Amino acid sequence: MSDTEDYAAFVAAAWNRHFRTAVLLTGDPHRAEELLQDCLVRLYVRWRRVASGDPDAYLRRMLANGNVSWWRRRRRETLTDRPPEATTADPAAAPDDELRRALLALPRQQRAIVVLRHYEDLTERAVADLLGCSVGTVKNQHHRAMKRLRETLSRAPEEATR
Amino acid sequence: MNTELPEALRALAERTPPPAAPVEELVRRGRRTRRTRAAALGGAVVAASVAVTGVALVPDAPDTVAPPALISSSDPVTTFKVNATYTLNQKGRTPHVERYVGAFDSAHHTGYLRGTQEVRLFGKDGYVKRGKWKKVNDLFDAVTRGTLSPADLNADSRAVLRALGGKVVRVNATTFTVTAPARPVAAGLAAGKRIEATLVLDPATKRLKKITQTTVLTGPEPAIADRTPVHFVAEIELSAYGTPVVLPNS
Repeated sequence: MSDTEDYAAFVAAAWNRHFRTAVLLTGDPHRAEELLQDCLVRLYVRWRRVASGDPDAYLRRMLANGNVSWWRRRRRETLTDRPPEATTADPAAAPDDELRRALLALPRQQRAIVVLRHYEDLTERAVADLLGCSVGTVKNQHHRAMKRLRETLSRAPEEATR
Repeated sequence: MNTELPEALRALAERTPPPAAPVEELVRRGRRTRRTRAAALGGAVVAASVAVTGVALVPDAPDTVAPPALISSSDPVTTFKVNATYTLNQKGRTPHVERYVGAFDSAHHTGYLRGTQEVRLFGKDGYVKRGKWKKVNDLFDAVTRGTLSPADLNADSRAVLRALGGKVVRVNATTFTVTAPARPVAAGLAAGKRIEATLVLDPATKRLKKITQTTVLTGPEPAIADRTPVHFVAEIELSAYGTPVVLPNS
């Protein structure tokens, strides 16, 4: 199997799972797809080196770190040849989605830690390795993130009843 | 909450059905990115360094015993010593600078450069010493990237201006600027399209003293846009006209 075939097989198999992680990280399916595509293009360039290791872990790292720095690089406007279909409602963008809004209210690093710990089910050590920080930082940021999530989610029903 | 959160995250993530994986598009973009990098970096940054270039572009060049001896005469116009500085500038990168000293006999289009590595040039081809000598085809093109090499120069500034071609502006009695099309190079090499050159003459002898050539390297595939162009500057100082080219001990 050639490198390209190998890469294509990986993308086909890994796309759905990593797309969902990207949706949680970015909070928007369109941004998630764009981030995932950017990361997969970079993965293609490094495929020979990465393929012998754990490409899933490598891609997860690119997504998490890419989302933190992504907005610094991207312009507000992006060119597209396909305007969004106005009649298609985005279920993930539902205004009553409390968890989504609570996640989006977190700083990007804290959001990444929550997603990696609770959605990807990674250990604190694995999250620290992936984000390039210490285990202590992960513990601290995770604690703050959970506290903030609890506060936001507990406030949400009160706000809804006003 | 810790026990409910994974379930809630999963439900949130799965509310958006993933679009189809654009495998072909990703492969195409990946190939383009790889080629662009190769054109901008592999074909330029590596290439622009005088000696590294040839070796890098011809990595499978077989080892050879030793280059042939240089054929040189002593001529007041065509034999001289050189100090050459080659600089590569690319946005976001530290400039890459290589400095060489050497001697050339442009009548025989031959000479040597010593610096980071040792290079001997014969006609279009040459030899690079990297532990062992390696013969490198089209080494002149790899070194010059469309600019004039030391072996194209001589004391007669008018002859050098003719060799450059293009539009000449006389700045003062000893300085000329030239905008000229780059010389064609071997296929597959990143090279400049236009050369901006400044020639400085010795005020006493009117012989060529220094030439600075600047160009922007573009990849061998014109269809691939280069977002971070590489600026290539070749500064060559000429001195000791009439000195025969004597190879240093290697």
